[in-house]
Amino acid sequence: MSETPDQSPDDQMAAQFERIIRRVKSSMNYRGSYSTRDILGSLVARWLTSGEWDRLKALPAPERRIGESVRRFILDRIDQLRRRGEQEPMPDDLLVMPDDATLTEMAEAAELRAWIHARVADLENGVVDERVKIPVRSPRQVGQALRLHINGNTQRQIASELGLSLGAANKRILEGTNYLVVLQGIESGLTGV
Amino acid sequence: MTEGRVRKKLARIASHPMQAWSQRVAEEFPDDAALRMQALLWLHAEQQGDDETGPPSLGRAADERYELAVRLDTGATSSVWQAYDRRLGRNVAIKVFHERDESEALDQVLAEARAASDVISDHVVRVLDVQVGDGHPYIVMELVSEYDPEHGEIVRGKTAADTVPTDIDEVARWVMHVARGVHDAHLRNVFHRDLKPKNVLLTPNSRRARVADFGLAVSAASPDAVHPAITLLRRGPLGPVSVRGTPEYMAPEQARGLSPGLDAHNAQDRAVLVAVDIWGIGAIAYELLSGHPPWVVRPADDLSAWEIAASAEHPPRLVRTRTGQSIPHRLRRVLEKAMAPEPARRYLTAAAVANELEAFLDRRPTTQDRSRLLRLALWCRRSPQLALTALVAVALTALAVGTHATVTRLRSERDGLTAAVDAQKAEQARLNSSVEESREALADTRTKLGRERENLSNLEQVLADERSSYQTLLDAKEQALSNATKSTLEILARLEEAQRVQRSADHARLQIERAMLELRREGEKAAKDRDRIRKEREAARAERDMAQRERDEAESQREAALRERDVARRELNDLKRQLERMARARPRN
Repeated sequence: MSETPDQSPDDQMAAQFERIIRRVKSSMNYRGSYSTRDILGSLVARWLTSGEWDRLKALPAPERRIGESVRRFILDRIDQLRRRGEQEPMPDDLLVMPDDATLTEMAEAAELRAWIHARVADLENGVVDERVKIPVRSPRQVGQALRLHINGNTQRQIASELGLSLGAANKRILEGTNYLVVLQGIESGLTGV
Repeated sequence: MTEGRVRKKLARIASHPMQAWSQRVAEEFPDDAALRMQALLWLHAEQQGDDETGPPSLGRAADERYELAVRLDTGATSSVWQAYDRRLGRNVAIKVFHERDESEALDQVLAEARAASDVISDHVVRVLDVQVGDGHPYIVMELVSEYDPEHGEIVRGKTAADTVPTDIDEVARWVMHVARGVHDAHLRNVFHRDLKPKNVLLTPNSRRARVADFGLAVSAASPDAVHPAITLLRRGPLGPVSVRGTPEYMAPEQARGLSPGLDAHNAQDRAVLVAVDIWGIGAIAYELLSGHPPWVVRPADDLSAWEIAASAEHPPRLVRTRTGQSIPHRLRRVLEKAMAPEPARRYLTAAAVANELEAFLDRRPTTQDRSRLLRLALWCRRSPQLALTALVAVALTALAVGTHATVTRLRSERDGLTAAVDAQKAEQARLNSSVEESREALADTRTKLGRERENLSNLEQVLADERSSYQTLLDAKEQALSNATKSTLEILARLEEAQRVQRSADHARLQIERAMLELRREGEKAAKDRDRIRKEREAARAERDMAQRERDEAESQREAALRERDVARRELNDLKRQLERMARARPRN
């Protein structure tokens, strides 16, 4: 959903909200790898943990060259992988990397997934971010419900697992999702304290 | 502000139209700009959440026809709802895609629907309709369900991933159904590529398995395509490869990437796609038996399931089920062939896998069962009555043959024993005869010895008489006959020696008698002592000869004594004559 100049401030804000909500929800619905894009996404997620992304983010956008960094990382992983199994010669053009914009999008998605997992773990431990001004009821239970939801359990399974009614389980998931959306808004500077 | 107050205010604002939220929020939270923004974001998120919790819109016409009732599952791209088809009056399952307007997503919906609708099989969930209109795109499928007479209601089926099989046979049966369904799809040039327990639905009562979710299928109508922006690997002349599927269940070659644009009508491409699905069938069995997929993330090695699948590793060997039951070798061999790392070593068709599993369930030999013993055992399990009859017949034959052999052997042993007894008897008779002869010989010897003893006794008497007469003579003429006395004493000493010899002979005789007794006893012991008896008999003979020799010696000594006696007599006579001459000469003096 792109913003256009003739949109009202409210519409523009709604569009921003929509983007944040979609990003958070799609990250929560991520169910593992299914396509080449997802496989590449999982490798990018691993690349994130190497600390290279943090270093590149400090650079101006034109100097980042994400593609080259990710390419080197993936080639190294595949090289290690092949040493465990078949020994095939690896041609130079083995990897065809997407453009930097796609890679940046993948890196941000992977980063968001990691961020969501960390915040859900906080909730499971009863930790609520002080910057969120809308209180979260039963944060531990909300965290547990979100964890089960992210792991692909249905609402019925979550209700059964946590000993809640179906409606209560649904409310916990909704509340947790709202909390994550608000916190992501704060992180992205939209709803600063 | 308390928790309750914030919540109440949010609830109040939410009851207004979305366009009025900004104003209402400003009124409710006038002093806190951050809270205002957070409240707006929260309200928008909640609004979307409510939209997602409730049934999505399928478009006006579809909403009128289908009543979405229960969300069955939610995935990354779609959710599945149980719905009621008002027009046809039946329950259906509707897969509703999240994306409304992305052409890539719409293409995917159509490709999946076309692939699944091409397949006509009792083991594949049927696709009834597809729509990519004004609402969310969706696919209408038959709802896998059955009437439960016990509870009087329709019960939905579950996925194989959510169901624990009762035993190993049930796993084999489900996987056989899946293989039949996959083969039916292959016959229509549709290749699933994402076979896993979650994509297998089970009917609740009859517990039959049906393949679902052809989301990644390749078919003649919808060939695989590679998005240019997400090409990952390039390999020589084949160009870029595509990695699609669920990493935990991927065939190794699928994880390494398949060439895009595989043609379902090309024999080589078909073989590649069939091999991937056959691996998938094996992977379903693998998880249903073991409780985990073939490839599992290994955090310790920092390896994802995809990386492990793409390496040359083998999945952990199937030995026991999740409940600890030992997995039969026969089933394991079938699954190992289905999941062979090299595609060329797998079964050529899914039907072949189904046939193998059917053979396993029917206790018939599979193509992997080459042992004749195993085949015989399977035949016995399959046809127990016939096997029992054959077993009884074989047992009776064996009994008859055994009895005949035993009787023949016993007869032979009896004849052998009779011959041995006869030989023993003959030997006994011969020994008895020999002993009798020995006894007679000993009796003769004893008689002879008696006579010898009598002769010796007579001789002793004679000698005593002689000694007496000598003594008389010597007493009378003691002084004069001192020399003669000495000679006589010597003679007597010799006589004593002869007596000693006689005693030795007596001793020898006693020994012979003892030997005779020993021989008699040992003769009763039969053949074994025969040689010893003979030796003793020979010893007795030798002793007898020795006694004879001693007797002869005594005789010769006696004769020598007689000769000496004669000499002595002559000397006495000479002495007498001398004495007479002396006597005659004395008166003259």
